[in-house]
Amino acid sequence: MFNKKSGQIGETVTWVVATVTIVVILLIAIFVATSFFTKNKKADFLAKQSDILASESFFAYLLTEDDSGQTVYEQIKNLENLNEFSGNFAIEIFDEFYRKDYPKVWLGIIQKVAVAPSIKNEYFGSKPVISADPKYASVESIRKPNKPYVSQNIILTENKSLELVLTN
Amino acid sequence: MIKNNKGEKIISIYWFVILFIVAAAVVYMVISFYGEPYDIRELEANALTNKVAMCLSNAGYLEEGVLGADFKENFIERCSFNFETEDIYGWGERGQYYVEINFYDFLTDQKNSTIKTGNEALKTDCGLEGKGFPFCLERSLYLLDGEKNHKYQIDILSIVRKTEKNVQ
Repeated sequence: MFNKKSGQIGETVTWVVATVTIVVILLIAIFVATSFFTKNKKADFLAKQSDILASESFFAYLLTEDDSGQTVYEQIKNLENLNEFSGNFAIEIFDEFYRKDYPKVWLGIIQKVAVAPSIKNEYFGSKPVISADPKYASVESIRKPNKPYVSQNIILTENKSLELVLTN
Repeated sequence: MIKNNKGEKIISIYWFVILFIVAAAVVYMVISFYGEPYDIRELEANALTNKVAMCLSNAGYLEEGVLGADFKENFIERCSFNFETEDIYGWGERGQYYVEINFYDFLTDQKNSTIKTGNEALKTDCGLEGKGFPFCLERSLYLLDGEKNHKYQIDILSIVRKTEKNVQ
């Protein structure tokens, strides 16, 4: 009689513990689902690959004339790099306006060569290296889907062009 | 034998109760995740800013007449905007959009002109954090005035409220 009763108590305790465990697990799942996954539920499509404002600023920058009446485009084309006027002016525009949206801002010359295609300059340094998201590594048409990568190009010579890069 | 049947019945009821609790918890989690709306106001404000920029500029130059009084007065029509919203949550009486464009002389930082349209009261809530506040986006671009050869910094402030449909 005594043995049967203690067996019943043991079995009841097992059921109670199992029930409590199930309820606790469910409560944790509900807490996580409601407090973490529903926060900042922002529409997030493929990362930005063009920026109209930066693009318009880039064109205006190239058309800006210095005191002698020479445009920034002509200066860069002749020198094949940034000079004091074009370099500092680019910092005033692109660094000031777009650094808050894109932590990495680069403007410089790129050339059609296999090794070191970008030319370092004293105003923006070296072109930032962007590694493609491995998730999309096989899809060449989607270059950098996980982060914004805005690139604006203008041809200077047959082998060289000026590129503006805005990225994270 | 009768006692055993009674025990089995209790166990069955217990299992149904647990099954119900688990199913209810799963349903609650799904509703709390998918019931929360996506916040698309950032995309909307970006689209608004881009549309304003496209309306003001043309390949680096200010569009003709942008700084004139006629453009300022008829900004909505000239740029083909429609700030009307559904007449729910009192949106009919209280505008949900606001756009402010400030034109500064790039060299002197002096304000030349301002265009304002929409519900200006929304501007006071910019910078405040919380669920009921509107989304504010301020971006800048650099443009040239082809006729006068002036350089301009143009600041575009776009505000979208619509909190009831985007944040809960």
